[in-house]
Amino acid sequence: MILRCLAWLVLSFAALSAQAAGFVEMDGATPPPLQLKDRNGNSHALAAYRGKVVLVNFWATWCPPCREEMPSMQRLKEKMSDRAFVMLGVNSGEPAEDLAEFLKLVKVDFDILLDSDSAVTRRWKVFGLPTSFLIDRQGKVRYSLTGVTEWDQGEALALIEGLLKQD
Amino acid sequence: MNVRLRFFPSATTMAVMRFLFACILAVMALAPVRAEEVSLALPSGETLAFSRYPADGKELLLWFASEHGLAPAEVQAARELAARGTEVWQFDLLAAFFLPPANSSMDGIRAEDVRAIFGAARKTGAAVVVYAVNRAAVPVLKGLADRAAEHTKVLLMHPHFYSAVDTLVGADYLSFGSLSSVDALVLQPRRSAATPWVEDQLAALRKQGARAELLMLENVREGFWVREGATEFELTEGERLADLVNEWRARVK
Repeated sequence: MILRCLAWLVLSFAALSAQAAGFVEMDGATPPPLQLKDRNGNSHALAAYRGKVVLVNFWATWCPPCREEMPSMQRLKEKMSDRAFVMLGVNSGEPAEDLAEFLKLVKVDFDILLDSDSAVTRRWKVFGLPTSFLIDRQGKVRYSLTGVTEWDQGEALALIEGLLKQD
Repeated sequence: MNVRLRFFPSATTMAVMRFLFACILAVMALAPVRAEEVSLALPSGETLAFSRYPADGKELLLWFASEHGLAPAEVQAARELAARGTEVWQFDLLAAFFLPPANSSMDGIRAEDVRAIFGAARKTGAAVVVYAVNRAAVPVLKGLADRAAEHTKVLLMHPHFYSAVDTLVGADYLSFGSLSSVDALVLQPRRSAATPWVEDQLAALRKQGARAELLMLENVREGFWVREGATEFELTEGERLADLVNEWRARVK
């Protein structure tokens, strides 16, 4: 019985360790359409950013990992201010009021788009939050990540820099 | 000389006695129902240990914990339900079988073993309702599949029965067989990444023959009764989990 308990503990730890997420290289497919309004009512279409590298980040205010990566996204935005780089935060399935309350507390100034009815979330087949996509200058999906990362350093920054170097 | 002693309590004494009696009744009512540890021999040869919260009522709730195990709020809810007359059998299948907390562990539990649990429950003669959390939906639905004669009411708390999930591609759902004997109420916290997909989950259940309805739980997240950093509302809802289970149970047709 003791051995079974130990084995269970080891397996449990292994299962939890295996949950760490990483970037997944995608096959460069064209992403589904994305056209949404930001909180000021301005419309943003992903297609309009052709020629730039785009980070599309699906998130929600009630999601702790989403909130966790917000500061690094803001730092990334500031770091990339003079580069061909755009960040679009797609707020999934929440009313505009919830977002407004959240943004009183968390100061970010990148574009946050409202997907209140989750229609775009469904179209992009997003099953977990946060989920992020890196889109290259040609408008193709090159990487996805379900889970949290530090966007202004390490692997995330290296992948973005790599995409910026490509035509 | 016959001396007959009579005790005529004063009004004050009577009031004190009535108060003490009321206190005793209140303590009895509030006293937590003690769990009995029960073992059930299964067709696979395993022995399943579970907690039974006995009650005198004619209703039996089979409570299947998620792959993350039982939370204190769930144990407390089982005690409270039993104190109010609903017997509860509470199962932490993965802990009982020493399996790691993973979807694959839940998926690997044998249908005939789960059927044995349902069989033992039905033998009590009580009206059985099943409550399954997250991936526990998988063994429960496997155990209920292809049992046309055994109508069962099931509460599925944010059920999770994807077979595959691919970002940008889509999701597939597990097939269990015929669920024509199942009346399911899907309980979906609004604040969940699964919320945009809940209608697909309902469709998957209906396609397999279940009668499946949705109850959206507003302003809470998955596992609101056990979350770190819970909101005030989630804490309140978690504290009244027994009440909520009773309300949900009444909604299953």
